Amino acid sequence: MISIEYLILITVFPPLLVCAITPFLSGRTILRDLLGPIGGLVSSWGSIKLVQAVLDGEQPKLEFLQIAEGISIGFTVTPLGALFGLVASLLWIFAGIYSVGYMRGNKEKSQTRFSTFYALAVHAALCIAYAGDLLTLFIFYEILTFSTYPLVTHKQDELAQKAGRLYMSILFGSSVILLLPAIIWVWVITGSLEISQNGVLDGKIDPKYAPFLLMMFVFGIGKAALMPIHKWLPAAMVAPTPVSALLHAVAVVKAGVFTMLLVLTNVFGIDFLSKTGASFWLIGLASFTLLTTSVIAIYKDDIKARLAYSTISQLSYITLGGALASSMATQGAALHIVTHAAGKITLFFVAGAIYVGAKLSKISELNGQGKSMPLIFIAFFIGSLSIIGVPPMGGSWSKFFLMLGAAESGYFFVIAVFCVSTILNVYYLLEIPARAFFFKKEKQITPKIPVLITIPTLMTCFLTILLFFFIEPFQNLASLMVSK
Amino acid sequence: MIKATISSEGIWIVFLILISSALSLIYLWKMIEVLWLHENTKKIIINENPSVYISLLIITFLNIYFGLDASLIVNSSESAANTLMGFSK
Repeated sequence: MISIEYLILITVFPPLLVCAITPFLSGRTILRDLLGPIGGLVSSWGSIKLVQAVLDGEQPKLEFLQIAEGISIGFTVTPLGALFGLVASLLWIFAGIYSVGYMRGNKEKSQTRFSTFYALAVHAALCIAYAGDLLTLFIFYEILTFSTYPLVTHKQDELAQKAGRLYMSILFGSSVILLLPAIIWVWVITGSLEISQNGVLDGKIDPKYAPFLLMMFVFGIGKAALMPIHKWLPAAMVAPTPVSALLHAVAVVKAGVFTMLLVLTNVFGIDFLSKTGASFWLIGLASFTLLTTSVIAIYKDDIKARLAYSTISQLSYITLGGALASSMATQGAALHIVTHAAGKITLFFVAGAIYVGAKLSKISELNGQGKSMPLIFIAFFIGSLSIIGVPPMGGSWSKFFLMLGAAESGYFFVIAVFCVSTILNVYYLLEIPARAFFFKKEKQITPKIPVLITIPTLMTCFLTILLFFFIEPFQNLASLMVSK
Repeated sequence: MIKATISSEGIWIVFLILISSALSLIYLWKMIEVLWLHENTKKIIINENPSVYISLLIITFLNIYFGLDASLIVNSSESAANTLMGFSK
């Protein structure tokens, strides 16, 4: 019987081990390519056990180093952390398999280096999920930024250089200039950086300063891609598609919205936000981002660019859910981390499959291609329905809870925002399968999609449906997250 | 340093310190970009001396160590500051 504390290590160390071993396996490509999915399986096993422990009322904890009074380096598995850890480790299995198919199919260079940094990024994401305090979270937040830079600039050309500069300047700049002082501010007024169940600021900060502290956190967490600090995400589209999947579903943006939700619920606390109205401005900004980026997505002809703006919009659902400061909305936001991850990874897998198999990257080029790649476009259709929130897809649950939360908190205009956004989602996402299946074919293409791309794409597509029927453990975690 | 400036109500100094940290990334990053993104056009043979690497590894380790356990440098700086303040009185 393994102690639950060690389960944390079993979950976070496989990707670090994969990262350490992979550079020595450049000559043994099969073994190198197997390591990622195997590491994903071990991490997933650990994360499932941690979810079970948290659902049983335990709080696995592991402290490594006490730096000063109230500051330590260590892990604590909260319900929200258990949920994010499960998402990151499970999706790493599929992303690992897909990466092999994509990198080989597209004959990409430096595959060993790619796998090394990919694993390091997953390790950082898992450490963020289980971070026991804000300093641990900040350290791994930065490791995630630095470890994904070589992935974003993988092509090492001029475009990659520009994208890399934007990526680093926004993510690192915002975190150093705003997130770090916000964390220090919390430490100065509370004397601790530990993550508490219901927030730590009530009675410690003058409510008139709370919106400013929240502003520092919100604009310091660049990975949550709220406007106007969202530009890095579309720019990062120059990277190979498995990196886009990593950015949009497995690690980076999910680490961003996880941190945002953690700050809103575990630093400020729902009751404090609701009582003081400190997050009112954030409701407005998230609603604006949500709608504006949905409209921008409509005008993007590049598949990955359209999906990037869709991601920014969907991340705003999560931020908005937390900002509404109601139990239902916060649960909806937590569930949206799961359902959006499954849906969006499917859509990116499809975008990569189309590129590798048919060398197409524009939506206007997809007319009539549905018959030559039926499974791939059906997967896109199902993934889209999940993002839109249509039953029986997993995404319908998170949107249902978000709607209930908007009603519960009394912000009825947010319900209208959700409805308009859903219509826009339908327009910009379903245009792609509609063109593929119902438009007249313009190009005769015989696509060759590697089986290692098709299988994970179909599996994540299936996952979006499974989530509708088996949402209960995730919902229980979300409900534990807001319990008093 | 940051805590000291906050407690002396110099919150704007905190931002200056952190903005300078962010700016240092810009000039350091230019080196990383050159090393990472630019092709090696000249063939240079470097005679590597292992002792250089050992020193570098020790200094790198110390950078991380003092980041996590700053008690030694904090205590010695404090006593140095106290001594200087004493002389100035």
